[in-house]
Amino acid sequence: MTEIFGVPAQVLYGQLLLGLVNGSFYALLSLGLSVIFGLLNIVNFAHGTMYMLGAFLAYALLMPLGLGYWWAFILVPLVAGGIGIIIERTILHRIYGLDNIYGLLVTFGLTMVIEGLVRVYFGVSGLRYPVPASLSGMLDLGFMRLPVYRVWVIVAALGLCLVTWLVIERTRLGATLRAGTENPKLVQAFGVNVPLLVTLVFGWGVGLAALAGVLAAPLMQLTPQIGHSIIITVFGVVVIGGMGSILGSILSGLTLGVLEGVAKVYYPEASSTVIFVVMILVLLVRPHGLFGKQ
Amino acid sequence: MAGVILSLNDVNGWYGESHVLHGVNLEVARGEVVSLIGRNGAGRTTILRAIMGLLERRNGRIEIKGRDMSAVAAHKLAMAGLGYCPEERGIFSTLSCEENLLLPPVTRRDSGMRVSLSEIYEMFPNLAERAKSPGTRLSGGEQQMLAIARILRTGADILLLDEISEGLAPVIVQTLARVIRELKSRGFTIVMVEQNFRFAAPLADRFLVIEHGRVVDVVQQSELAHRMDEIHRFLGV
Repeated sequence: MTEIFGVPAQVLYGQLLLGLVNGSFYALLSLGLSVIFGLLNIVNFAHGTMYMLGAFLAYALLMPLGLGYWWAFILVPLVAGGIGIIIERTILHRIYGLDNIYGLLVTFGLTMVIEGLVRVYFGVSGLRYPVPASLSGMLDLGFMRLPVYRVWVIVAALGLCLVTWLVIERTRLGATLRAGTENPKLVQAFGVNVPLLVTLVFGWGVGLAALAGVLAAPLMQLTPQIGHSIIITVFGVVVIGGMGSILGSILSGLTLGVLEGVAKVYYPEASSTVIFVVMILVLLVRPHGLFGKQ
Repeated sequence: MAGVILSLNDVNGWYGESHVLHGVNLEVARGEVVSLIGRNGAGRTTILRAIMGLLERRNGRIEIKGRDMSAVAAHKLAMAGLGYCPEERGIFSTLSCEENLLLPPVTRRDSGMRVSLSEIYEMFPNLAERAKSPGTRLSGGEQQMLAIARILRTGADILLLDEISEGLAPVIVQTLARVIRELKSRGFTIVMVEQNFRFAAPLADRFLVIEHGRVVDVVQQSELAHRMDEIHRFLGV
């Protein structure tokens, strides 16, 4: 059997695939987190909770209502985005202009409330969400076999990241968003309804996190804590990529996911800390992140 | 005053707890060029910011074309025909020159004052050459031209220009003076804050002297020659 640095190639490829899947989730979540921070200047601790909520909403659509994966893929981001819009309009808009710590505390409180509600309704034991029939099975590449669903997750996440990047970097709406991130008051003076833009961006970011939750649902045991475990890593990804940098979020999310996967093969003890070691190194060399602006 | 297009009545403004505008009263007629003059910190820029709804707190009455705009949201003021060119130019670093130019939405298609993109490029040929360059890579003069050009596209007919000649080479300042004359001849109403009195002197119809956050005197263009000493005293020259 072929070995790469003493590790069977099949094992390494398998971990690289897992790393890419995790990296796709990191990229999707850090993208939303980064855009929300850029425009609202709020460190949204509840972002992981929205990911968890997305997975549980998909479950809720399936179990009582019988609406399957593809319904969830469309409906969950819309419902979660709507919840995000309500949260922004009723709570977050009151703390704009205040120190970042207020945003962090408020969104931490939201995390507790939403997690508590999910715990009351769904319980704390892990729930299973089935892989949709149309995406089950294996893909044989000759040198390795890939689960179709995991390939779909990577393709869907990369597609969503690409579309988001294109909208932000290549359209008039994206130019307005970027300008709003730099100087919202001046953009408002030009006649752009910045408060509405902020609300929609927050709703979109939450929708994207919930969609990541839908994608992740068939890959894990659903518990109310799944948002917690991922959000800390995603914060690390955003810091490494550069707060507010779209491209930085996507590239560092994917790269760090793969790095984590490789660490699991060669030195498993370091796999859960490798991202934070990179974060410390990046902060020492480039405090504003790899792609961030000073 | 006949044909008043912009008026401020007893406008007060604050930066945080600091009371910086103390009952500003002024009127500007349609097609007029008015220059706000005064020493640094007198409140000239703050008056423009108050008009644009950019102060955290203000009161008093602001009318544009006879409509009370005091309580109108900041983003709706542009719809009334206001175009604002801030002191720091406000060029966005993440946007190219052309993206900066196209950023402000066209707010008044039927105003008849809208300057087309081709006219803008005719007026400022440098902007056409640097269309794809990042906005903040432009020279100071080009950035200033961009800051003025982008509000002309929107259909605004009242232009608030803050220190547009500041820190620019004499040849660029001459170009800007030519642009102001052309805009005036097209019927634009212009309120400009200028520290460079030699730039503003031949352009403005009236000079409003600002001290301690209020208008303390008005000098007509026709009075300029014999009140120059007085003006120099106001400006601390």
